[in-house]
Amino acid sequence: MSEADAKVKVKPETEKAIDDLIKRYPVREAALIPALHEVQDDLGWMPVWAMDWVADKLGLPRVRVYGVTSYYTMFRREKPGKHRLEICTNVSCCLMGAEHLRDYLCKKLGIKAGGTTADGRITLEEVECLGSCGTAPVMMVDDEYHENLTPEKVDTILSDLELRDKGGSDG
Amino acid sequence: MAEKVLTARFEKLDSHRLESYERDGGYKALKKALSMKPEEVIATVKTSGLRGRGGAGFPAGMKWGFVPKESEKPKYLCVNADEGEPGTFKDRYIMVLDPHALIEGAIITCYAFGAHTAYIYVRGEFKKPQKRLESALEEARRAGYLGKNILESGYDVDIWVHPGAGSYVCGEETALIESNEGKRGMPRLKPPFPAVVGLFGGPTVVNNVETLAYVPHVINRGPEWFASMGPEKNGGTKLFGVSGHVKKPGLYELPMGTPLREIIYGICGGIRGDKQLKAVIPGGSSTPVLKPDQIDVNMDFDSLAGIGSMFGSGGIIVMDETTCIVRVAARLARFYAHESCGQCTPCREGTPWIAKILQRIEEGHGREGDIELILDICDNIQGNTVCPAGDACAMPVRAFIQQFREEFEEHIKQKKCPIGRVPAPW
Amino acid sequence: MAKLVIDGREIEAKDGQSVLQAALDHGIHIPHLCYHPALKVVGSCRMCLIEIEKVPKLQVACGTAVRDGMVVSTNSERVRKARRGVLEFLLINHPLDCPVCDQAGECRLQDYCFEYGQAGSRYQEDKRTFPKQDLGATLVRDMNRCIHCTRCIRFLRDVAGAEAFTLYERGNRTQVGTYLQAPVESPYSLNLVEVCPVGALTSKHFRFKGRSWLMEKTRTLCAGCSRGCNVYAWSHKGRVLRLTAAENQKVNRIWLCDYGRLSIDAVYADDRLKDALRMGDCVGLDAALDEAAAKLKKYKDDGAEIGVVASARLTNEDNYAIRKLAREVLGTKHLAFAEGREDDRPFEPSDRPLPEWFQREDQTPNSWGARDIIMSTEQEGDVDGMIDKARKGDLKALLVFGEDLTRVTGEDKVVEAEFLFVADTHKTRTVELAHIAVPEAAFLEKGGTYTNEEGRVQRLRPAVAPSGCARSAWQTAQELARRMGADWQYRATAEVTAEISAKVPGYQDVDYIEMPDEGLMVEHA
Repeated sequence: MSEADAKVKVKPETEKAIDDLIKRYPVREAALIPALHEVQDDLGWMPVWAMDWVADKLGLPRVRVYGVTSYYTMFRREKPGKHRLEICTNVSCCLMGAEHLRDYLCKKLGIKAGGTTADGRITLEEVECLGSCGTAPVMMVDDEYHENLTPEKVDTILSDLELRDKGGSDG
Repeated sequence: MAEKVLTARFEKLDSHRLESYERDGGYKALKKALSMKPEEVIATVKTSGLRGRGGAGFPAGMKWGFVPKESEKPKYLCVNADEGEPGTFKDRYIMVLDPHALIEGAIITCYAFGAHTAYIYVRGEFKKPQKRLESALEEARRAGYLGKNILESGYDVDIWVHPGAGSYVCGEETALIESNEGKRGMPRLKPPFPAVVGLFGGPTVVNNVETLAYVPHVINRGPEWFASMGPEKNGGTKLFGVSGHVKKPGLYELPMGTPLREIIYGICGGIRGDKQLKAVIPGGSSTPVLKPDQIDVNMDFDSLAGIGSMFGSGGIIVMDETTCIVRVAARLARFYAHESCGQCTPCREGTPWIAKILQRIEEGHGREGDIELILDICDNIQGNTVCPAGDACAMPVRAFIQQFREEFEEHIKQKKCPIGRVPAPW
Repeated sequence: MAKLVIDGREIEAKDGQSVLQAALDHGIHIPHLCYHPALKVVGSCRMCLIEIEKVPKLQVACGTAVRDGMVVSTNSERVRKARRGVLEFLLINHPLDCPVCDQAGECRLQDYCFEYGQAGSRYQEDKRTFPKQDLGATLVRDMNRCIHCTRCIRFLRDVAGAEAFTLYERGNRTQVGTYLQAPVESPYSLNLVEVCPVGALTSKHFRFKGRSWLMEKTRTLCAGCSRGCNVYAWSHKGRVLRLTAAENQKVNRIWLCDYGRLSIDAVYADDRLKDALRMGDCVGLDAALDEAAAKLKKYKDDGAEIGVVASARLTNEDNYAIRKLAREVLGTKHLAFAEGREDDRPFEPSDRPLPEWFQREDQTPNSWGARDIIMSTEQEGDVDGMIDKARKGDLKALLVFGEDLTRVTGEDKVVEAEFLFVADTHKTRTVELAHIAVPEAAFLEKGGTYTNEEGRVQRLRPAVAPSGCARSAWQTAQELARRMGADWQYRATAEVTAEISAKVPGYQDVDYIEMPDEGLMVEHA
């Protein structure tokens, strides 16, 4: 863990949100997945200490929480780049050129699918069907759906991300 | 032009807000249902013949009827908003554009079989639908449609959004329940069935979003009206999501029983670039593929079963002559192998095996005997697994091979893919 | 009571049973891997698929409840094809480790492949591999061999009461393991080696030591505590290599604790007493016994007091012979043994997790038997008192059988006597202080009976010959008795037992040869 990472903690608002979530269920264990999402949205990913924090918060054995977290693909147990591009390459999206787009992105960013750019800004992942097949090809950019993609649209997305990063905060 | 039931409000401004929903007659069905006896509500839905829209097509009223009247443990409704089947993209629109339709349907359903809590299990990637639902639920609570003693009826009910986290198998009802309980989303042995032992051990009904969205309409306009909108035992309309090589892909609400040809060439404008149709997947990736000479089939549960395929979730994937079927099969097998929960032997070991062989064939390294081997693996998976996910891989792969065998043989003989990647549409 | 037909044979099943349980009860072996009689049903291996009339799909026998009138086929062509399929699937990633795998010869997967599988695999792709896992002091997991039956997870969580294992990742990348490679720290961890149907979990203690078909199997008892767990001692070339659980539903069910399993080590420890000692120097056994007997005879003739210490570690036969030696040959009432510790936890095997009832506080195997035998005769004093008397000189001679008196006194000084005779298995402090010491057979080397905490008499069988010139205490007592003129004629353990059943109240039904596997309850002193 880097020194900067070591100082990171779960925000009080996140903990409060989890307290509220727990009230929705008759057993605390059922709040596990929503709680993990809250913590991941807060920290940007799921380091081991955060998983343990959730386990302790819900009174669950750490080993059990590890088993659950590692089952689901959305929980990022490795720190990703600043921005995450998750492009669907399932059937409908492929029929509409998703593989071409993926290769385009790989070439433009200089990385393979699954990798992160050298400056740590962008991680590109191939994902399974995102449930938006009618507007294929589809990609999630930091959890936001971008549909009906073309190379031009992808270029716009990338330059928007650059502007956002240079601007310091998102508007 | 056929009547729009579920999509009628989609184009309206702020269709997702409560005031818009109420202005259009929303929550009248709930008031009517609360004035009926719960058994009457179940009987009404049974009479309508409403069948599950998630893919299995099980009659909703019958499912509710399986729940025991008395129960020591609380009963639950789990709304299946996992929408993970490739080719399917309908529930997302309902949740974003008309969330109250789902909410009202869910409340009526809870009342019908005696649940006081419902969880809407929304796949993790659907962040916007989750937010929309949370807002709509808050609106409903403030208006007294949710909470204690709703509309002075004496009935308590509340609904919560519960996110998934990236697992296709959680669309299966017992896996959904496991995930809702905070566990790995691995399906349970049946029996016992969820109607008897489900969420937190209590009787549970799991229904798809679209199914529940029809419920208020069935109550308002009567079961006979609903049944009359489609062929016998296949009543109502359906949200068909058409994707792939048509000119106008998208979501279309059509009466059950609409011929597939009409959908592809009529509604969706035919094949893009006026190319030749090569293959159609009729109801989501788990349904056996159809060839062009089969598209005169009527899109309903029984007709498709009659020609050896399945109606599924209504996710129609259209493929033109530029498509390499082997590629499609390989990509789907890879999907199922990736999503396999790993619990039972045939699916855990068999689906990656199929994926590997198909990939080899696609890349030009296919061997003699590979095709028979894949078919035999499919035989050894189908029917032998804990949940239908194994079948969901075996059946379409077998269908691809049976319908397009020459293409697989060509790949092996020529030691390459003669067709290549689908060209980009731009 | 449901009547069903399996493969044409009508059987009666108990209500609530699964088809698999009913079949197994009637000797019909439906192959299965993930099912275990003591664990929750998961139905995931799909090995036990069967055909049921009027049911379109094959069903798992372990998860299907019996119904009156059910007609089942466990051998139709459909079933056999499904089984071959499951086995083929299991073998596509399972390494061909049989030549180096401990489980070979007692491996379900091996047996089923031989019986139901096909000769070759059609898998020609890459096998997925996982790293090996070091699970701590007792276990190694070869994850490549794992067939994902989840028995180990269920055992640790539900029986051993330790949620240490989990499944992680998914699909065919699923692994089973501990969190962050933490070691497994359960005193029942070695049961996992038996619970695992293949060689994925192996014992560090036994790994590579023996092949199951080359070892001899002897049913005997563990001597680690007063539960008296039933074990199989597996030996090869005169050495016991491992202990596995023998089933006794009334005592240990099918479990053992690690402490008991590893008690083999003590039998082969370096400080094992193999020869007779005289003032610390090795002498011939006969010479040692001659000298001891002569001394004792002199003490007796002189009217000096002699004390005899028996032991809760020795068998009933040993203690009976020692009592007879004390009372009839030495003519002394100074006879006692050191008690084991009391345990207020319930004794009965239960469904509660093992830590709540299994390992007993009393770490001797035969406190109850010793009490029944020693205390049912006229005796005086206790071990503490005898040690004091010996130190003061009131007891001139002290015979100590099978006991290290530091356990009683806790002092290093232990004991002083004009003549100290000790028979024990190891070179304890007491042995070091003895004038004459003779070696004692360890629990794996002798026959006899123990009476457990519940009052159940069970039988020990020797798995291997004793080390050196060690022998059972009853034989040593007989040697001394004969040398002192008593005409003892015990030729075998059974004859001593026969006399116990004649003379010791409560033990009248105990028969060494006809002892049932379950043991026999006796009336407690």
